Amino acid sequence: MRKLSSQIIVVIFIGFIIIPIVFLAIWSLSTRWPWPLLYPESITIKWWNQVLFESKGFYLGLKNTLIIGISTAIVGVGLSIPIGKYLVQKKSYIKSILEGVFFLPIILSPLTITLGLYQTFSKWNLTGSMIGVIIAHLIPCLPYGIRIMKISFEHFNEKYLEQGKMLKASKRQRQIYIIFPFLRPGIIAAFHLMLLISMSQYILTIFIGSGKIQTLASQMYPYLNGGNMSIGGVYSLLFALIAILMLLIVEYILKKYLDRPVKSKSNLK
Amino acid sequence: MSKIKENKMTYIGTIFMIVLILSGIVKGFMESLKRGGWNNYRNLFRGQEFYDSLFLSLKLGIITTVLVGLLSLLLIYFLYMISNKYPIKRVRILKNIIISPILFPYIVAAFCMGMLLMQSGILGRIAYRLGIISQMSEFPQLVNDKYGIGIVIGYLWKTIPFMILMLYPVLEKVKDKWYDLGNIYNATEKQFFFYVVFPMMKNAIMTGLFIVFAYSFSAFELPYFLGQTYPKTLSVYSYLRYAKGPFEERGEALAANFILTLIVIMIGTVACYFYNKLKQREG
Amino acid sequence: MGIEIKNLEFQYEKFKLKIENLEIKKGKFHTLVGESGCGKTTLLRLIAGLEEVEIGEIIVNRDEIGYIFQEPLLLPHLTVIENVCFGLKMKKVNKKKRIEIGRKYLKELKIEDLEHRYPDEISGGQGQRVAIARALVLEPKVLLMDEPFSALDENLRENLRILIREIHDNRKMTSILVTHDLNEAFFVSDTISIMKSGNILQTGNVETILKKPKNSKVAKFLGYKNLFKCEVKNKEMTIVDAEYKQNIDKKDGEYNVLFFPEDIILANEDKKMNLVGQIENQRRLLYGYTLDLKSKNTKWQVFVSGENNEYQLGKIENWHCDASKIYFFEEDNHERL
Repeated sequence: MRKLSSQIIVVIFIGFIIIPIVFLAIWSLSTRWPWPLLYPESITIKWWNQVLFESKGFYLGLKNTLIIGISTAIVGVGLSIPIGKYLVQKKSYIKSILEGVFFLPIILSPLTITLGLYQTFSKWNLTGSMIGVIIAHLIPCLPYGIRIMKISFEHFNEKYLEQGKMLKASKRQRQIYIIFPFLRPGIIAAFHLMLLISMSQYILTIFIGSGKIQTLASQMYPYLNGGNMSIGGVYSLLFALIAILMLLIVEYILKKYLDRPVKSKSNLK
Repeated sequence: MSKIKENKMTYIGTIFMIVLILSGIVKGFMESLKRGGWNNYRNLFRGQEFYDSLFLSLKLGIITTVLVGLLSLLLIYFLYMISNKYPIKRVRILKNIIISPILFPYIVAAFCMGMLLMQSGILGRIAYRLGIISQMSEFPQLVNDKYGIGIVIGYLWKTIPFMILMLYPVLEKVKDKWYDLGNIYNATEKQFFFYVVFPMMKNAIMTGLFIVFAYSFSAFELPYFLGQTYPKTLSVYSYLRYAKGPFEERGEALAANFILTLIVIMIGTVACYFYNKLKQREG
Repeated sequence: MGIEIKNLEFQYEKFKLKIENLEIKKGKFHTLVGESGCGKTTLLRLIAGLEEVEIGEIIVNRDEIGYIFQEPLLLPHLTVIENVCFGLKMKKVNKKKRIEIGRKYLKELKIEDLEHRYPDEISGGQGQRVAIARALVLEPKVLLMDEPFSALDENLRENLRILIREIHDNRKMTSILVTHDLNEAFFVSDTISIMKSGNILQTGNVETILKKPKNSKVAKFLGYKNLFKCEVKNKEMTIVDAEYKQNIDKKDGEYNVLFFPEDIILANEDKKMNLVGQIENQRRLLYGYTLDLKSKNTKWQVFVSGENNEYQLGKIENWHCDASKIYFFEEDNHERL
């Protein structure tokens, strides 16, 4: 009896999670779906065609989203590694406060922080530009990246480095063969997460981009807000699919790239 | 040589982050004092709208957090029960399905809630088919309503998966390390969960719930799409006033924004204090 | 009620555990010894019920089993007393009674003053005592221990070994200890099973195993070095590749033999010469010396007790061994050494 009730509850939860997604899919395939029908009038793929093949808007949005997202993720990882390492070494009062500051964007809406920066951005001609948006996106992304790298470094045992020193590995070699492989899962996770967060930003992009920079998120909005719900559904699903795809691609590339130095070394005479 | 380079990167990075975050807040404060100085704050506190917005934000934050806390604990408990009977690979697939909403941005969440909960939405249609209501308008207002029901459900859709994302690794880790012990002492499944698994999750639960609260208190997207014109949450209020309001009123808008920031920081400091006190018992 | 294992087979990692017959009599202290990976822990877990038996039979009363893990595994969010009472809590004993019983055992293990501490505030040795108390609180009749002292320093280990033996004797329990430390096994047990690659090589009490190892594998595990193949012809024994001659009353044939290091002594008028060996090395032990001898192509190890004169390295000496003291292996007489 217990087994049954726990299964039922999990099914209910799963239903709650999946039903919206299912309906997104149905909407994306329906011609019309007026009240009070429980299923659309008819099924069509014309909305998908329209978004993917007929209009150029989607690809522009996709391009911008990926450029901004990947740049944000790369810069983010680049900054998170040294900062994460720095936070793990000797703790001091100042560091705890710094950690708190870095943590803020997780709890404060990025808009809240950026509202005060608009003037500054404007002065430096960053508003309405890709670079401005990338910098703005770093605000919600970096705290997560730093947190992940910090945890990675916490689990890193100094003794491996000491062993490397004893085996006469240079600093660079130690970095490549000891530290990097250890950090790799953290780097992948941080990259994923920051990419996803950047892709998901809406109001921040609109705000700093002054409406000029089109990303998938900003394009979705008019459809979702009472516009063509079917196209809204198409965009939503495409968004999720691209997010998953990027996750897989990034994981594949990083695994391949970070494996290479070791492999090629073994081929040397 | 590279040691210096490393430190440089750290300094640049740290300075960059501090500049962005702190200056955002500090600048926000300074700008809130332009065009009117402290009057901006005075006027804000005199108007009724500010308090209504503040209360709405607090209400939404607290209700969401309480609900998320209860529901995600329930869900992780049942995931735990399932993991005792089914192979772990299947459980992981289940977990991945549960955390899938993380892939969707909040605007999609808003859209989904609208699609399901609007009077013309799916639930309304089901009610009509079942004969519970006879016309569209009889279905209760769940979005753009005065209670913020749609907003809360929208938050739940995104934050319960977030909590499961945080709690699930603890579940696997605890089972891995402590399962034998439970076995030897003949602990029932229930006993093992309450006396071993749950205590070890406390840290993750508190961190997670704190993030959920801070987020649902200060977030923008869901209340913007699914909320009413009055009252708005504090975040929507300050944004709209800044972006759409008259230029002279920007000061007040930023003042509201700063109050929002201040409250979150205060809650954060308090939470940090308690967190550090309780952190000692990590396993 | 002791423990009986019959025809047990179990696949673990790369080995197959295969135990035809093992019986541990009630009240005995039995140790499973072997190198890492020989299956001793797996066997213990099977007895405890932590792994499922699919082939074979283990007869033991599961309700009466206490188990001590390699790590103390103390729940970090509970105090010492709460940890000790954990089993009672699972049995729904009320709080007052639990604490009463728990305190009794804290006292017995001499850790009363740790009652309200948390696991991260006590040392490793204290932690294991808490783990032992926790296991004893349920008054098990059978105690299973998986290398419980391996993470501790020698002093602590010895104290805890004595303690565990005392507890075993006082309560007339049946105990099984798993260890890779031979000395520990000898120190604390009544009977021992030597295991290798999933099989039990020999089971018996300590004296028997030391004096009568069943085969060369056991002898090697025990650290015996003087293992040779010999040939007996016309009541005379010779050893391949060694300068060795001995009169012995045994049938003609080839045998595997073992010489105990303390049985080889310098030859003199009464003790006729059997072996000619050159002293290669001399090492000091706590109560004597061990000498490495070389005889043609064979190496011998000799133990000399007491404060004797220093032996001359490089000197060639005549050595004697009583024929009655030479040990012939029961098994594997045709196996290569």
